[in-house]
Amino acid sequence: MRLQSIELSGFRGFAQRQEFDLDADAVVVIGANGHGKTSLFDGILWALSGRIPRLKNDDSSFVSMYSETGQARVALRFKNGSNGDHFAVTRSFDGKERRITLETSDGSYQGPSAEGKLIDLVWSDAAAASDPSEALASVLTRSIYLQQDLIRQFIDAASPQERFSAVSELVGAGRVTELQDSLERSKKAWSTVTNQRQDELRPVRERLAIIEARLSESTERSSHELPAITSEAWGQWWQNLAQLGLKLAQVESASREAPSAISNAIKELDAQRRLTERRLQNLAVLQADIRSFTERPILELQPLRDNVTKMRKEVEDLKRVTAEEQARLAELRRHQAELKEKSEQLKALAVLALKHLTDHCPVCDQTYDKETTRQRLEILAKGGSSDQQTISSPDKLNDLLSALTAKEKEVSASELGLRSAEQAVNERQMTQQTIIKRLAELGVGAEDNRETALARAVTESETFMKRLDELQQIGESLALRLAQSSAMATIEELRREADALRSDIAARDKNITARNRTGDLAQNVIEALREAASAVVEERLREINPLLQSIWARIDPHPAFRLVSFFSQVFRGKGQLSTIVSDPVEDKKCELPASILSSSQVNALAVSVFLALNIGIPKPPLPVAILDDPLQSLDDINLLGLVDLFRRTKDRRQFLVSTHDAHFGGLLSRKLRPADETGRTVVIELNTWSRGGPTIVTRDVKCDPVPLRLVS
Amino acid sequence: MTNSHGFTSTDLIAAASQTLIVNGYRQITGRFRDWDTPTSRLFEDEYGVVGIVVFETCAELLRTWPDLQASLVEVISRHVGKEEAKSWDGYLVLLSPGIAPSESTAIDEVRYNTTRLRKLVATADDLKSPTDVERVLRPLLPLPQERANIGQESALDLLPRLLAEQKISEAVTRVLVDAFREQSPLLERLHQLGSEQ
Repeated sequence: MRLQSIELSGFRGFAQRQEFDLDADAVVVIGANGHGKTSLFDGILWALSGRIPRLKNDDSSFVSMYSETGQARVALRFKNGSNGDHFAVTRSFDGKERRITLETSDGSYQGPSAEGKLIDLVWSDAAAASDPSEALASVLTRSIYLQQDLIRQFIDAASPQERFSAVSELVGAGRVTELQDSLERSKKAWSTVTNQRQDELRPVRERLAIIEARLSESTERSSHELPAITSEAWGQWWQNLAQLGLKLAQVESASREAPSAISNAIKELDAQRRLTERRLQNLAVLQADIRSFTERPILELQPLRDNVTKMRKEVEDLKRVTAEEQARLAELRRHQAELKEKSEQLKALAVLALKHLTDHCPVCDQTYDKETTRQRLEILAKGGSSDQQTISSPDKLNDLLSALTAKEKEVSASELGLRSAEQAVNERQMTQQTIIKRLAELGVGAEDNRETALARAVTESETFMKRLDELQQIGESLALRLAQSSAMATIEELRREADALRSDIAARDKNITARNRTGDLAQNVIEALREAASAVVEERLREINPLLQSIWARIDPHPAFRLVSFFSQVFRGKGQLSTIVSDPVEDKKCELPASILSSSQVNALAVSVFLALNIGIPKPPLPVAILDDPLQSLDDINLLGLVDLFRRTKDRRQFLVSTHDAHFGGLLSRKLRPADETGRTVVIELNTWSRGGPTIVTRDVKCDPVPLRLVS
Repeated sequence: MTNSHGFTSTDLIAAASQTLIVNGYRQITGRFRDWDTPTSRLFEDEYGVVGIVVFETCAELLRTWPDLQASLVEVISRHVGKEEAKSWDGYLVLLSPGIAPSESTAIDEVRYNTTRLRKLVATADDLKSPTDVERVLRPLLPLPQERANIGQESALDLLPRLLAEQKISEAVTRVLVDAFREQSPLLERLHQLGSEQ
């Protein structure tokens, strides 16, 4: 594959459109600093990978400040040496949007499909990378494009780990590391799922343990087996129930509904039994009530009523007599009161008269017997009176009252007796009605002899009760046997479930074991890959070492340290890479070349390493070597050595080199001239730079018309 | 005369001549007397003219190299125009099997002298065997074809062999590499392989 041309517009130092012919074995770019040499080579890198890592992928820096379109655009054309096909990649960026177009003989591609196809065409190894364009950019900047600012970095700036990492990518070990990373991620996810499956198995095992325990318990319980239920016994029992008037839905003994059906029937029997018990109790109570009713005397109320009437009349009579007596006594008391008042008045008069008793009356002035009068007055003064009547004795009234009271008590007692009798009669009537009602309720004919009918009803109920008891016992026996049968079925079901669970657990165990085996194998592979990544690098470097030595020897910049080699090792799991220079005469080695080599020699070593990797790595992205102004601060001898090396490099690689030194540019032009007419060397001179970009002069370097002058 | 490593100046001139011829140089014989002797030869390819001289001692080398350079410049200038690119491509190779502890500085001065011609200088310090001559002449030779010895297969292609050394079967590695390339689930493919086996 060979670069044919590049067209730049609005890209970095090239504000206006410029096209460069690169279709040559060697391209020498000569221009003063700032005239666009680096922009030209950056354009190649950007077109291929879409990034310039050195610029920290700051896309805004790609667009020239003086771009007329505000857009950076690079079109890079290639020719495939093996089949002569051409393809062109065009990349643009307008400050916001990135675009890529790929034109191949197969067709035109845009966007991501163009990126993918470009990777396929340029470096298919990167396709397996997590970021193919990033991987491609990394390889391009380490082995294809030696950037001016980074020439020494590989030697004296990068750490051994960074060098190892960079070379890992170059030699393809980056894919090994990515495989390892990918496998580790897959392994982690795999282990998570395996653990989940183990977690899912735990409840299944627990379920099996529970079932086995239940099975063991059920098996032990069912060791005393009862005879099985015959269909005759089952049918007879249900028939008997029907005969007793229990209307229940019969089911087959083998059916799933049998346990609930027999349970319901037994409950119904029990309910009937309780009803019958209550009927018997009611009948017994009724019997007792009838017996009591029968023994109770029949009372006659009329004599009692007559007696009460008579006694009430006597009371009325007594009340009248008593009232009369009370009236008489009252009159007598009033009379006595009048008498007493008169007596008192007389007494007062007598006292007064005695006080004023003289021989004649002061009023009428009559004379009187004073003594007799005195005596008479003294009697009166003492309260004596001849008119005073004594009240007849109250004992009569008291007797009358006592008699009345006694008679009233008798009346009251008689009335009470009458009421009791009336109540008893009423109660008897009510009891009789109740008995009749209860007999009716209990279905005992009232027309017959009650006791006999009642006794017959009791007998019938007792017989019914016994029958219910019998059927309940038989039913319970049937239920027990049914339950046992059901238990056996349950045991069988448990056995089946246990077997299924064991089978499931075995399958899951097998699956988990297989998954663990796969996980273990993956872990072993991961460990092996860690070693393998280093082994790949070491193997590749071992292969490249002679080339590196060969290149270094061509420059031969140091009189003592004439040997150089890569040294890689794995330290604490991390690959490390150093470039060792050694003095074969004194057998001295140095892993830090920058510490003993001059700046010029370090530059020479860096270029040697770059070219060794460029030429040595298998399947490079492009058979192109691009060096941006590598010849700075070089001694003449080193400079000549490098230029001779470049000449030989162009025989193996399309070689692009730039320099800011016009004299050195002239030397390069002469040294990199084509050996014959089949070769081509182009010199691009970037002259005065303006805001539109540099002025460009391109010329071909002619080969010698007669290459061999001394050979006759 | 043999040097301390047991080879002679004849061995050196023979090795140098052989190396250049094998790498595409043509020896110029019968035309330039100074450059057609047992110790001096002249070669040419499309790019340059190379004069090789072998000295018995370093002292002799230091004493005579300017004359030899002048002679070679004379030969080149007689056949190549001054403005022609090839006039810049003259090389003088000065070899000696002798040791030069006391003259090492002077030898280095010759090596670093880039006037007129580029000088490639080697003494017994650099030439421990005739094959070391090739190393001295490398700046004049095409880049080696070591590339042919470098594996062309990708690093992933190397893995079955490398992992087999760590007792990972090649079948396992191939399945993983294929799955990785196809971006298929790695562990599933590995598991599938385990199931099939």
